[in-house]
Amino acid sequence: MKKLFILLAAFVLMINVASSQGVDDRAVIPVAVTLNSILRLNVVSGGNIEFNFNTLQDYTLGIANTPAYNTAFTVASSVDWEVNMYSEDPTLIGTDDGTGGNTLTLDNIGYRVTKAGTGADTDYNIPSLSATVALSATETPIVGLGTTSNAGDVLKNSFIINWRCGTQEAGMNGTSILGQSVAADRYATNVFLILTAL
Amino acid sequence: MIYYRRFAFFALLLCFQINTVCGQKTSSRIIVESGGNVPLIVNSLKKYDEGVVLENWTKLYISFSDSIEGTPNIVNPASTWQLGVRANEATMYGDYFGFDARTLNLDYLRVEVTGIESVGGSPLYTGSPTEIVLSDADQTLITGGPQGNYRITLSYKLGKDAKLLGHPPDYYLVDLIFTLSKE
Repeated sequence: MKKLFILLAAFVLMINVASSQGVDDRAVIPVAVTLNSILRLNVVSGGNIEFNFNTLQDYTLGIANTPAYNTAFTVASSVDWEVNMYSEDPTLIGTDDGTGGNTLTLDNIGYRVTKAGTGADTDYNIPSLSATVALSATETPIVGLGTTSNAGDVLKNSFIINWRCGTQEAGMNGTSILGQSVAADRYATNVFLILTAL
Repeated sequence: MIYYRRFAFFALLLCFQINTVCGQKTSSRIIVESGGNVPLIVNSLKKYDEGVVLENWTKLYISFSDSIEGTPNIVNPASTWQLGVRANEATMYGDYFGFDARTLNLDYLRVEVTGIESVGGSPLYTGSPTEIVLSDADQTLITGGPQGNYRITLSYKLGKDAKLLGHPPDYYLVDLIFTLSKE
Protein backbone atom coordinates (compact mmCIF):
# COMPACT_ATOMS: atom_id res chain seq x y z
CA MET A 1 0.00 0.00 0.00
CA LYS A 2 2.88 2.31 0.75
CA LYS A 3 4.18 1.82 -2.76
CA LEU A 4 0.82 2.83 -4.11
CA PHE A 5 0.89 6.05 -2.11
CA ILE A 6 4.43 6.83 -3.20
CA LEU A 7 3.55 6.31 -6.83
CA LEU A 8 0.43 8.40 -6.42
CA ALA A 9 2.36 11.22 -4.80
CA ALA A 10 4.97 11.18 -7.54
CA PHE A 11 2.27 11.24 -10.18
CA VAL A 12 0.56 14.21 -8.56
CA LEU A 13 3.87 16.05 -8.26
CA MET A 14 4.52 15.54 -11.96
CA ILE A 15 1.15 17.00 -12.84
CA ASN A 16 1.80 19.92 -10.56
CA VAL A 17 5.16 20.64 -12.17
CA ALA A 18 3.78 20.32 -15.68
CA SER A 19 0.95 22.72 -15.19
CA SER A 20 3.21 25.33 -13.67
CA GLN A 21 5.19 25.82 -16.86
CA GLY A 22 4.85 29.00 -18.87
CA VAL A 23 2.71 28.54 -21.97
CA ASP A 24 4.04 29.46 -25.37
CA ASP A 25 1.84 30.24 -28.30
CA ARG A 26 2.71 30.14 -31.96
CA ALA A 27 1.51 31.57 -35.25
CA VAL A 28 2.53 30.50 -38.72
CA ILE A 29 2.69 32.86 -41.68
CA PRO A 30 3.49 31.49 -45.12
CA VAL A 31 5.83 33.61 -47.21
CA ALA A 32 5.91 33.33 -51.00
CA VAL A 33 8.57 34.91 -53.17
CA THR A 34 7.69 35.04 -56.86
CA LEU A 35 10.62 35.73 -59.13
CA ASN A 36 9.15 36.46 -62.54
CA SER A 37 11.42 35.88 -65.51
CA ILE A 38 12.39 39.04 -67.37
CA LEU A 39 13.89 38.54 -70.82
CA ARG A 40 13.64 41.32 -73.37
CA LEU A 41 15.54 42.01 -76.58
CA ASN A 42 15.10 45.31 -78.37
CA VAL A 43 16.61 46.49 -81.64
CA VAL A 44 17.05 50.16 -80.94
CA SER A 45 18.25 51.31 -84.35
CA GLY A 46 19.62 49.93 -87.59
CA GLY A 47 16.76 47.55 -88.13
CA ASN A 48 17.16 47.86 -91.88
CA ILE A 49 20.67 47.86 -93.31
CA GLU A 50 21.15 48.77 -96.97
CA PHE A 51 24.49 48.53 -98.80
CA ASN A 52 24.40 50.38 -102.10
CA PHE A 53 27.19 49.50 -104.55
CA ASN A 54 27.31 52.36 -107.00
CA THR A 55 31.01 52.84 -107.75
CA LEU A 56 33.70 50.49 -108.98
CA GLN A 57 35.54 51.13 -105.75
CA ASP A 58 32.57 49.77 -103.86
CA TYR A 59 32.65 46.69 -106.08
CA THR A 60 36.36 46.12 -105.61
CA LEU A 61 36.91 47.10 -101.98
CA GLY A 62 33.47 46.61 -100.56
CA ILE A 63 31.62 48.90 -98.18
CA ALA A 64 33.32 49.23 -94.83
CA ASN A 65 31.47 49.78 -91.59
CA THR A 66 30.31 53.27 -90.71
CA PRO A 67 27.58 54.37 -88.26
CA ALA A 68 25.11 54.10 -91.15
CA TYR A 69 25.69 50.35 -91.11
CA ASN A 70 25.23 49.74 -87.40
CA THR A 71 22.50 47.86 -85.60
CA ALA A 72 22.09 48.74 -81.94
CA PHE A 73 20.30 46.32 -79.66
CA THR A 74 19.73 46.01 -75.93
CA VAL A 75 18.94 43.17 -73.57
CA ALA A 76 17.08 43.34 -70.27
CA SER A 77 17.22 40.10 -68.37
CA SER A 78 16.81 38.91 -64.80
CA VAL A 79 19.02 35.90 -65.47
CA ASP A 80 22.15 35.19 -67.45
CA TRP A 81 21.54 35.10 -71.19
CA GLU A 82 23.02 34.79 -74.67
CA VAL A 83 22.09 36.19 -78.07
CA ASN A 84 22.40 34.11 -81.21
CA MET A 85 22.02 35.28 -84.79
CA TYR A 86 21.21 33.64 -88.12
CA SER A 87 19.86 34.61 -91.51
CA GLU A 88 16.51 33.45 -92.75
CA ASP A 89 17.90 32.22 -96.09
CA PRO A 90 21.09 30.35 -97.00
CA THR A 91 21.98 33.17 -99.43
CA LEU A 92 20.94 36.72 -100.09
CA ILE A 93 18.17 36.56 -102.68
CA GLY A 94 17.72 38.99 -105.55
CA THR A 95 14.40 40.75 -105.24
CA ASP A 96 14.21 43.11 -108.20
CA ASP A 97 15.00 40.69 -110.99
CA GLY A 98 11.57 39.12 -110.85
CA THR A 99 12.79 35.59 -111.31
CA GLY A 100 14.33 35.36 -107.87
CA GLY A 101 17.18 33.43 -109.41
CA ASN A 102 19.97 35.85 -108.47
CA THR A 103 21.80 35.10 -105.27
CA LEU A 104 24.69 36.53 -103.29
CA THR A 105 26.52 34.37 -100.80
CA LEU A 106 26.05 35.30 -97.14
CA ASP A 107 29.79 35.40 -96.50
CA ASN A 108 29.94 38.72 -98.35
CA ILE A 109 28.27 40.20 -95.28
CA GLY A 110 30.49 40.47 -92.24
CA TYR A 111 30.00 41.84 -88.76
CA ARG A 112 31.63 42.63 -85.49
CA VAL A 113 29.85 43.18 -82.20
CA THR A 114 30.95 45.84 -79.76
CA LYS A 115 29.81 46.50 -76.23
CA ALA A 116 28.10 49.86 -75.72
CA GLY A 117 26.66 49.47 -72.22
CA THR A 118 28.00 49.71 -68.71
CA GLY A 119 28.54 45.98 -68.29
CA ALA A 120 32.04 44.79 -67.51
CA ASP A 121 34.10 43.08 -70.18
CA THR A 122 34.10 39.95 -68.07
CA ASP A 123 30.29 39.78 -68.22
CA TYR A 124 30.30 38.82 -71.90
CA ASN A 125 31.83 36.47 -74.38
CA ILE A 126 31.76 38.19 -77.78
CA PRO A 127 33.29 35.99 -80.49
CA SER A 128 33.37 38.81 -83.04
CA LEU A 129 34.82 41.42 -80.71
CA SER A 130 38.23 41.45 -82.38
CA ALA A 131 37.70 39.45 -85.56
CA THR A 132 35.15 39.86 -88.30
CA VAL A 133 32.68 37.00 -88.69
CA ALA A 134 30.67 36.25 -91.82
CA LEU A 135 26.89 36.13 -91.65
CA SER A 136 25.59 32.58 -91.59
CA ALA A 137 22.29 30.76 -91.89
CA THR A 138 23.39 28.66 -88.94
CA GLU A 139 22.51 29.98 -85.51
CA THR A 140 25.69 31.55 -84.21
CA PRO A 141 26.34 33.07 -80.78
CA ILE A 142 27.15 36.76 -81.03
CA VAL A 143 27.03 37.65 -77.31
CA GLY A 144 27.34 34.99 -74.64
CA LEU A 145 28.01 34.74 -70.94
CA GLY A 146 31.46 35.72 -69.75
CA THR A 147 33.04 34.82 -66.46
CA THR A 148 30.66 37.03 -64.46
CA SER A 149 26.91 37.44 -64.59
CA ASN A 150 25.46 39.37 -67.51
CA ALA A 151 21.96 39.70 -66.06
CA GLY A 152 20.90 43.31 -65.92
CA ASP A 153 19.07 46.15 -67.57
CA VAL A 154 19.43 47.83 -70.96
CA LEU A 155 21.94 50.36 -69.69
CA LYS A 156 24.24 47.51 -68.84
CA ASN A 157 23.47 45.24 -71.80
CA SER A 158 23.75 47.48 -74.84
CA PHE A 159 25.53 46.34 -78.02
CA ILE A 160 26.22 47.40 -81.58
CA ILE A 161 26.56 45.14 -84.59
CA ASN A 162 28.98 46.72 -87.04
CA TRP A 163 28.06 45.46 -90.52
CA ARG A 164 30.18 45.52 -93.66
CA CYS A 165 29.77 44.06 -97.13
CA GLY A 166 32.29 42.82 -99.71
CA THR A 167 35.32 43.92 -97.70
CA GLN A 168 37.04 40.55 -98.07
CA GLU A 169 38.22 40.50 -94.46
CA ALA A 170 39.41 37.30 -92.87
CA GLY A 171 36.39 35.15 -92.22
CA MET A 172 34.49 36.67 -95.13
CA ASN A 173 34.45 35.89 -98.82
CA GLY A 174 37.95 36.70 -100.04
CA THR A 175 36.81 37.61 -103.54
CA SER A 176 35.49 41.07 -104.26
CA ILE A 177 31.92 41.55 -105.35
CA LEU A 178 33.34 42.58 -108.71
CA GLY A 179 35.35 39.37 -108.90
CA GLN A 180 32.27 37.28 -108.16
CA SER A 181 30.52 38.72 -111.24
CA VAL A 182 27.30 39.15 -109.33
CA ALA A 183 24.31 40.30 -111.36
CA ALA A 184 22.95 43.73 -110.58
CA ASP A 185 19.96 43.38 -108.28
CA ARG A 186 18.73 44.16 -104.82
CA TYR A 187 19.75 41.29 -102.55
CA ALA A 188 18.01 40.81 -99.27
CA THR A 189 17.49 38.44 -96.40
CA ASN A 190 16.18 38.71 -92.87
CA VAL A 191 18.53 38.33 -89.95
CA PHE A 192 17.13 36.97 -86.70
CA LEU A 193 18.43 37.72 -83.25
CA ILE A 194 17.50 35.12 -80.65
CA LEU A 195 17.75 35.91 -76.93
CA THR A 196 17.94 32.86 -74.71
CA ALA A 197 18.01 32.61 -70.93
CA LEU A 198 20.78 30.41 -69.59
CA MET B 1 -8.18 -2.46 0.57
CA ILE B 2 -11.26 -0.75 -0.84
CA TYR B 3 -10.86 1.88 1.83
CA TYR B 4 -7.30 2.65 0.73
CA ARG B 5 -8.27 2.84 -2.94
CA ARG B 6 -11.04 5.34 -2.19
CA PHE B 7 -8.66 7.30 -0.05
CA ALA B 8 -6.12 7.40 -2.83
CA PHE B 9 -8.76 8.49 -5.34
CA PHE B 10 -9.97 11.37 -3.17
CA ALA B 11 -6.39 12.32 -2.37
CA LEU B 12 -5.72 12.56 -6.06
CA LEU B 13 -8.76 14.76 -6.62
CA LEU B 14 -7.70 16.96 -3.74
CA CYS B 15 -4.22 17.33 -5.15
CA PHE B 16 -5.64 18.37 -8.49
CA GLN B 17 -7.65 21.06 -6.77
CA ILE B 18 -4.64 22.21 -4.80
CA ASN B 19 -2.67 22.25 -7.99
CA THR B 20 -5.28 24.39 -9.70
CA VAL B 21 -5.47 26.81 -6.84
CA CYS B 22 -1.81 27.07 -6.03
CA GLY B 23 -0.27 26.76 -9.51
CA GLN B 24 1.09 29.67 -11.50
CA LYS B 25 -1.13 31.07 -14.26
CA THR B 26 0.56 31.99 -17.51
CA SER B 27 -1.42 32.85 -20.56
CA SER B 28 0.15 33.51 -23.98
CA ARG B 29 -1.93 34.14 -27.06
CA ILE B 30 -0.81 35.15 -30.51
CA ILE B 31 -3.28 35.73 -33.31
CA VAL B 32 -2.65 36.75 -36.91
CA GLU B 33 -5.10 39.60 -37.43
CA SER B 34 -4.14 40.42 -41.01
CA GLY B 35 -1.37 39.84 -43.52
CA GLY B 36 -1.39 36.12 -42.94
CA ASN B 37 0.07 35.56 -46.39
CA VAL B 38 3.17 37.40 -47.49
CA PRO B 39 3.39 37.64 -51.29
CA LEU B 40 6.70 39.12 -52.38
CA ILE B 41 6.54 39.53 -56.14
CA VAL B 42 9.60 40.48 -58.15
CA ASN B 43 8.34 41.40 -61.61
CA SER B 44 10.62 44.17 -62.84
CA LEU B 45 14.33 44.69 -63.18
CA LYS B 46 14.06 47.55 -60.69
CA LYS B 47 12.73 45.14 -58.10
CA TYR B 48 15.42 42.61 -58.97
CA ASP B 49 17.95 45.36 -58.43
CA GLU B 50 16.52 47.22 -55.44
CA GLY B 51 14.42 44.56 -53.74
CA VAL B 52 10.82 44.51 -52.59
CA VAL B 53 9.32 45.86 -49.36
CA LEU B 54 5.94 45.01 -47.89
CA GLU B 55 5.48 47.82 -45.41
CA ASN B 56 3.30 47.22 -42.33
CA TRP B 57 1.96 44.06 -43.92
CA THR B 58 1.24 41.69 -41.03
CA LYS B 59 -0.57 42.52 -37.81
CA LEU B 60 -0.23 40.14 -34.88
CA TYR B 61 -2.41 40.42 -31.78
CA ILE B 62 -0.58 39.39 -28.66
CA SER B 63 -1.99 38.77 -25.20
CA PHE B 64 0.22 37.81 -22.29
CA SER B 65 -0.38 37.52 -18.55
CA ASP B 66 1.47 35.82 -15.77
CA SER B 67 0.80 35.47 -12.07
CA ILE B 68 3.09 35.05 -9.13
CA GLU B 69 3.75 31.41 -8.48
CA GLY B 70 1.41 30.11 -5.82
CA THR B 71 -0.88 33.13 -6.06
CA PRO B 72 -2.65 32.82 -9.39
CA ASN B 73 -4.75 35.95 -8.98
CA ILE B 74 -1.83 38.27 -8.37
CA VAL B 75 -0.11 39.53 -11.48
CA ASN B 76 3.62 39.18 -11.50
CA PRO B 77 4.89 42.57 -12.62
CA ALA B 78 8.35 41.20 -13.28
CA SER B 79 7.13 38.81 -15.94
CA THR B 80 7.72 39.85 -19.52
CA TRP B 81 7.27 38.20 -22.87
CA GLN B 82 9.33 37.88 -25.98
CA LEU B 83 8.42 37.33 -29.59
CA GLY B 84 10.66 35.16 -31.73
CA VAL B 85 10.57 34.07 -35.33
CA ARG B 86 12.19 31.38 -37.42
CA ALA B 87 11.70 29.72 -40.78
CA ASN B 88 10.42 26.18 -40.92
CA GLU B 89 13.06 25.23 -43.50
CA ALA B 90 16.74 25.93 -43.96
CA THR B 91 16.04 27.58 -47.32
CA MET B 92 13.12 28.71 -49.47
CA TYR B 93 12.11 26.05 -51.96
CA GLY B 94 10.95 26.72 -55.50
CA ASP B 95 7.71 25.13 -56.60
CA TYR B 96 7.52 25.53 -60.39
CA PHE B 97 10.14 22.99 -61.34
CA GLY B 98 9.43 20.45 -58.65
CA PHE B 99 9.96 20.93 -54.97
CA ASP B 100 13.57 21.70 -54.02
CA ALA B 101 14.76 21.88 -57.65
CA ARG B 102 15.55 25.55 -57.05
CA THR B 103 16.22 27.26 -53.76
CA LEU B 104 16.48 30.79 -52.47
CA ASN B 105 18.55 31.59 -49.41
CA LEU B 106 16.64 32.71 -46.35
CA ASP B 107 18.99 35.62 -45.83
CA TYR B 108 17.41 37.46 -48.76
CA LEU B 109 14.49 38.16 -46.44
CA ARG B 110 14.36 40.54 -43.48
CA VAL B 111 11.57 40.79 -40.94
CA GLU B 112 11.13 44.08 -39.13
CA VAL B 113 8.80 45.14 -36.33
CA THR B 114 7.45 48.51 -37.40
CA GLY B 115 4.88 49.03 -34.67
CA ILE B 116 3.91 47.88 -31.19
CA GLU B 117 0.57 49.28 -30.15
CA SER B 118 -0.79 48.67 -26.66
CA VAL B 119 -4.43 47.63 -26.64
CA GLY B 120 -7.02 48.19 -23.94
CA GLY B 121 -4.91 50.31 -21.64
CA SER B 122 -1.98 47.93 -21.48
CA PRO B 123 1.30 49.56 -20.50
CA LEU B 124 3.33 51.04 -23.31
CA TYR B 125 6.19 49.04 -24.70
CA THR B 126 9.32 51.11 -24.35
CA GLY B 127 11.96 48.76 -25.72
CA SER B 128 13.53 48.65 -29.14
CA PRO B 129 12.45 45.81 -31.40
CA THR B 130 15.05 44.14 -33.56
CA GLU B 131 15.10 43.71 -37.32
CA ILE B 132 16.30 40.25 -38.20
CA VAL B 133 17.66 38.46 -41.23
CA LEU B 134 15.61 35.33 -41.56
CA SER B 135 17.09 31.96 -40.68
CA ASP B 136 15.81 28.60 -39.51
CA ALA B 137 17.09 29.31 -35.99
CA ASP B 138 14.93 31.11 -33.46
CA GLN B 139 15.63 34.84 -33.42
CA THR B 140 14.10 37.39 -31.12
CA LEU B 141 12.14 40.27 -32.56
CA ILE B 142 10.84 41.76 -29.31
CA THR B 143 12.02 41.32 -25.74
CA GLY B 144 10.83 42.73 -22.45
CA GLY B 145 7.19 43.03 -23.42
CA PRO B 146 5.06 43.98 -20.41
CA GLN B 147 1.94 42.03 -19.58
CA GLY B 148 -1.13 43.03 -21.50
CA ASN B 149 -2.50 43.09 -25.00
CA TYR B 150 -0.54 44.37 -27.97
CA ARG B 151 -0.86 44.73 -31.71
CA ILE B 152 2.42 44.09 -33.52
CA THR B 153 3.00 45.37 -37.04
CA LEU B 154 5.54 43.65 -39.23
CA SER B 155 7.26 44.65 -42.46
CA TYR B 156 9.13 42.40 -44.86
CA LYS B 157 12.14 43.29 -47.00
CA LEU B 158 13.34 41.07 -49.80
CA GLY B 159 16.58 41.47 -51.72
CA LYS B 160 17.82 44.52 -49.85
CA ASP B 161 21.11 43.05 -48.66
CA ALA B 162 21.93 41.03 -51.76
CA LYS B 163 20.57 41.53 -55.26
CA LEU B 164 18.17 38.98 -56.67
CA LEU B 165 19.40 39.70 -60.18
CA GLY B 166 20.61 36.53 -61.85
CA HIS B 167 18.54 34.28 -59.62
CA PRO B 168 16.38 31.81 -61.57
CA PRO B 169 12.66 32.56 -61.69
CA ASP B 170 10.38 30.41 -59.55
CA TYR B 171 7.74 30.50 -56.82
CA TYR B 172 9.68 30.16 -53.58
CA LEU B 173 7.96 29.23 -50.35
CA VAL B 174 8.72 29.14 -46.66
CA ASP B 175 6.71 29.36 -43.44
CA LEU B 176 7.51 31.84 -40.70
CA ILE B 177 6.87 30.52 -37.20
CA PHE B 178 6.30 33.23 -34.63
CA THR B 179 6.60 32.17 -31.00
CA LEU B 180 5.32 34.17 -28.06
CA SER B 181 6.90 33.04 -24.82
CA LYS B 182 7.57 34.09 -21.29
CA GLU B 183 11.09 35.39 -20.72
